[in-house]
Amino acid sequence: MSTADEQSDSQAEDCTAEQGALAGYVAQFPNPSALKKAASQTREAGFKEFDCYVPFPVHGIDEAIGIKMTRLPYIVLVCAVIGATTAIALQFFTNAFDYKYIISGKPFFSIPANIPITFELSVLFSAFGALLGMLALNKLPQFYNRLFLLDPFLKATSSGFFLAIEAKDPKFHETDTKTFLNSLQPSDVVTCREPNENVKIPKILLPIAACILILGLVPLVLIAKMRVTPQTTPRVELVHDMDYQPKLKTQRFSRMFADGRGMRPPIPGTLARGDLQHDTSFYEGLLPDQEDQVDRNHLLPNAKNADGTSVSLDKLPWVSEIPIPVDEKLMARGQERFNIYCAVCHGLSGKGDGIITQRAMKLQAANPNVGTWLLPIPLYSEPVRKQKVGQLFNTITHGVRKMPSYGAQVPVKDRWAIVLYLRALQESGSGMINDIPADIREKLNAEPKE
Amino acid sequence: MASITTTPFDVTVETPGTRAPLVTGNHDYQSVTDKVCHLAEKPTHTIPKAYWVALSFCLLLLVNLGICIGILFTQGVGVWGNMSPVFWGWPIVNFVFWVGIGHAGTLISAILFLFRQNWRTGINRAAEAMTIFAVVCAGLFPGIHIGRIWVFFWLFPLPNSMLLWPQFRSPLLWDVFAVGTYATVSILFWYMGMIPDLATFRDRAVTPIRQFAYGILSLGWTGSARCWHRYERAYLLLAALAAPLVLSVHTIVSFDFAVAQLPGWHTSIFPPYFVAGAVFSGFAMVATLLIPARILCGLQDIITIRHLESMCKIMLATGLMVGYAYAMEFFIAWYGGNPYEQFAFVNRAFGPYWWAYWTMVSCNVISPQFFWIKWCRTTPWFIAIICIFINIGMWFERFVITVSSLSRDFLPSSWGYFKPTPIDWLMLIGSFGLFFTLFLLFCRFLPVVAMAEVKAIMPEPEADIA
Amino acid sequence: MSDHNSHTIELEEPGTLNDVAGSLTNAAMIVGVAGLLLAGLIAMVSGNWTQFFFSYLHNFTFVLSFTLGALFFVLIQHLTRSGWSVVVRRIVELMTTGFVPLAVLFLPILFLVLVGNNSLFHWNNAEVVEASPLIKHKAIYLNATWFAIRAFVYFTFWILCSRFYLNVSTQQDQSGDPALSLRMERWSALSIIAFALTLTFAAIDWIMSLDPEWFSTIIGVYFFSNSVVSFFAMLAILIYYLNSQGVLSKTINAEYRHDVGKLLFGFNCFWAYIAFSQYLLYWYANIPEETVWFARRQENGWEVVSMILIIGHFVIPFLGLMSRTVKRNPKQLVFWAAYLLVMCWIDLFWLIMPEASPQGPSIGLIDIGCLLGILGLFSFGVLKMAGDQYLIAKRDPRLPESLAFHNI
Repeated sequence: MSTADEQSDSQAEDCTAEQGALAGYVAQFPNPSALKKAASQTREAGFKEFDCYVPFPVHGIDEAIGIKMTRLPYIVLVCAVIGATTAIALQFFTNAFDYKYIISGKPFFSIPANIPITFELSVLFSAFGALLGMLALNKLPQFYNRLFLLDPFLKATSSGFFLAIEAKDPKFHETDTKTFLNSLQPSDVVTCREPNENVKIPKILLPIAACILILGLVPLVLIAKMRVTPQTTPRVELVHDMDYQPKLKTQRFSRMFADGRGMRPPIPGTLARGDLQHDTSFYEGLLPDQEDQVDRNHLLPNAKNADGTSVSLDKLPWVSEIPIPVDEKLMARGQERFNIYCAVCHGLSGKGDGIITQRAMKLQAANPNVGTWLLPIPLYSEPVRKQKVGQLFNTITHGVRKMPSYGAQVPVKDRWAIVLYLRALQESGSGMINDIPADIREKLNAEPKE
Repeated sequence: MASITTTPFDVTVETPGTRAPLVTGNHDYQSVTDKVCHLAEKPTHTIPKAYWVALSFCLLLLVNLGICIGILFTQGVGVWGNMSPVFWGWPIVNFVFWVGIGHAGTLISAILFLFRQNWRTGINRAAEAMTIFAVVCAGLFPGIHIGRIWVFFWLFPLPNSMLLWPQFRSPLLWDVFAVGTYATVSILFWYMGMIPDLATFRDRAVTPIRQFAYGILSLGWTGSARCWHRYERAYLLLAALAAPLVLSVHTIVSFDFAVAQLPGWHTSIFPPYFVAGAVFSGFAMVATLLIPARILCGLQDIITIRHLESMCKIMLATGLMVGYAYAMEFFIAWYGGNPYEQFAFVNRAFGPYWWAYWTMVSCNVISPQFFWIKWCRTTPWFIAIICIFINIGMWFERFVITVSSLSRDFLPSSWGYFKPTPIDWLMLIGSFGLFFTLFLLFCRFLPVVAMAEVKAIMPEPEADIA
Repeated sequence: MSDHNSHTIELEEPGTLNDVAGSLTNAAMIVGVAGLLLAGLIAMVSGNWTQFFFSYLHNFTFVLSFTLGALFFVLIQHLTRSGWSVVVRRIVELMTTGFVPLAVLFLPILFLVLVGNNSLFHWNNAEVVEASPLIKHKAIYLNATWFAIRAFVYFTFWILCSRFYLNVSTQQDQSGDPALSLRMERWSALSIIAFALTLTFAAIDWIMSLDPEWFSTIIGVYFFSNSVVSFFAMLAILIYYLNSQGVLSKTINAEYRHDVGKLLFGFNCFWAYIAFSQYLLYWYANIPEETVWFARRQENGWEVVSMILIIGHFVIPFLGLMSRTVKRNPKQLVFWAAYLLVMCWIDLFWLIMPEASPQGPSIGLIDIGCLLGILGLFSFGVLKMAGDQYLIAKRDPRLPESLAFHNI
């Protein structure tokens, strides 16, 4: 920096100092008008490689120098077209081709809705075109310029008006041109020289740059490696998204309550709405006048008495009549529910040949040591037939032996419907040929046997 | 260098046929340069105390904003008052407010340029800077409103592992593109305008750091007439591009509201009405800031009373346009005969947010009427007061539109009342901190006035021609 | 940007309007009367009076639109203390004298409304009003008396305002007093507010209320944008005509054509912006009571007219007028101006006529007759009233600035 300063200082003081080849002459003018006049005279004198340097765009200097209209508008136009095409293509591809979905009944490719973005991208692209195009046409950025070495030239960006004729102009002559410039009545003429020493980039910079480049790649390589390496430890969660939320979840601990439970038990002596099930014959299949003698724990499968013996369910005070009106509709409902929930194990006829049972038996036959599947007893067998409807209802509600509880899946009324249908199955499963009306019996007999 | 002598006279009076000078005082090209570079070139210890006081205060507000954002990120958007049915509360109001502020700069640099309003040269650089800072503040709010800020890039059409694309039929996505484009183009425009002035800074720099920094930023600009030729063409083209862009940005912001069917939002005058409002608020902010800044930077000769007066006139004009839109909305709400629409407007004026509505009307429609009076247009402290009122009014306009319509939609059972939380308030205040801090830094480090453009409109010193 | 070297340009002697076009006065009247007679005759023969009334209204609003644009231009030039436009301002001021013949031409429409005919305005019938709660709701606005009072207010303002500006401006031709410029400037602000309101409500009354159930808050701005585009197109054509007559051909040179061209281009984009904003909002929200208006314009052949507007009113002239060379070349500019004037006519056709014939667009001799008739009588009125006016504001204090004006 200091050498450059000294050079320019000495140049300013003594233009004849020998420093490098002659690059041109720079004349300073006191005001824009004088410069304009000088510029047109220079052009008329036949010079081509000359330029004016001014702190602001001087009106009319373009004509004085003879500058042709720039091509910039065409560059911008092309950019605008590219921008518009990009926008249309992007919106078509993303919303109408690659990932189609309907929004408020609008077509996938909605031209009115695409116009705003098309406009924006056209403007964006053309704005870049205008700025970068201007810089490119002006051959900028160019951080080094030998004119910067001339001290008076620093005024070109604040208040000086300069005209420079380059030595590479065919008409340039070392003394004649200077005389010519002086004839234009400038306030000053200075000689511009090429810098006499070629400043080279210090050799040490190259290895340093290489090192920085390589070091800069290291994190990228590490990231790439991590992405393809399987990890056994849990991932590091920089951002939790919504994984940990400060809310109470079922069966979780909470500091909020003295008992540490997140879920709250109902307040003693209260019931939730709709939970009042005082009609025990309907809800539990127990006779209302005796229900208070029943320990409800005994209703559960495999329940034990206090002495360790199995509870005898048959002895409990079950209702023997279905506690809701029985009609054909209820029967149809029962059949439908039975076929959905029960038939998979018990079979459509209640024989105990549902598809799950069949498969389980097949598997157990292949591997006798595996599996604990018990064959369900036919629903029309004597023990089941003897059970009161209340007990059948209870079995569906709570399950029995291996059979799980269906109370959660099947609403109360549907359970009674199933019980009703069960009675019908039992009737058909244990019936005699004579139970069938005579005319149908004949028809059955008439059918060919297989 | 001789100087032009202009006898001190009232530049706001113009006899037809003679144009009043835009630069007062006895300035020549050199002294204008000195004047503009003054604050930026001062050694740190000679900076006026007022600057430090202002900067520290603004930094305090900025720190407050940072803390609020920190709280928001760790606690979630529940710290805001946004709650059913007003999910678009405070942050969107702030967003629209700040985007609106950001319209004056590009309007001054582009549209006034195209209309050859030479007075713009004194204020365009500072106004453009404000545009960019306002857009930064604006971008902040939807940015932090998206909830999961760390996946903000989902707003852009980038290929991702879920094979999803953004929904281009949504005005909210148009917003992303519009505000993004606007910010980018404003920065390009601003930067391009600054290149010659940065070169001036470079050539006047005395410390190596300044020489290096401004040397890089000015890209090696020499002031060559051939470069100026292309530069002027590029500037004209950018202005021609930026002019419709200014209109488009607030138009698209208005689409966010107006494409919906919500009463009070769906009205076809929204696009031009929003643009007028944006220009209105933008000019108010520019004036509010320039009135102290011209004193701080000693630019009273370049940003004269006449500049302020012209801004006041634009505010009056756009204020009337906004008033026209309010009136049309009301008239058509009645004329259209839609009971929901009628309710929405009656509710604005007499519903639970009546105070916001009447604040808006008195600040936006009534307060600029003072500018009919010449004294009001030419007295800086008075202009500043009115401009602050306008800013308040324009903020309330967005509040009224957003909150009053959302809080009373079609379904009375979902009606509610929006209340901001302290975090909401602190964030709004903090965004002013961000805006003012950036502006103060700009005043210190960059050319606050487009020197080259000001010189171009100065009369040539006749004395030198001989 | 800097006017460092102001050229001195000799002011040409343009003479008065009569010197240039006085010979056309009678021709204009004959064309006008003949056109209206032709249209009326066809209507009488075919019995299609509705078509005639709508054509009449359409062409009336067309001529009105560029006259309003002219008034706006005068006002805005004064409001902004504009210098460049002084050389063309007088021509525009003369255009605004057309409000008087327009007021006369409005009388038949007014008469129609006052006698209770509802073939133009459906709301002008008690039964229709009773049948629709929506129309009934706005009957206190849409009724014959109030309609007439409003029309009277609009025309009174337009005529007084345009007369004021022309009178003061011609006074200045004598005195050259700069105070007169200040006087015009002072009134321009209030005038432009009144202008905005009258134009808006005129658009609501004469265009929007043709479908009394439909509404749009932007209709005033839409009509305004159309007016300004058609005005600049008309101005470019007038400049070309004057120049081709050898009048002011050196004064109103490429620089002014360039500016008029730029404004034409710019306001055409503004029109597109307003039209698109309105359409997009209604298209997107898709509320039946609003889309019905657009639906009418998207079926039965009207969709072709809509497409012509999108492509022909915006896309083609946007590309055509973009270049600097086109705007500076007299022939090319006048081509695009005439083209856009036709498009503005089609725009109003699209706004008005679907209400008369939703079954499909048709342009016949009635339309041509009405166009020629109204344009002819309008020109006749202008030539009669402003015939002895000078064609340039020769002593406007800003004239030298205007003459020296250069684009960058």
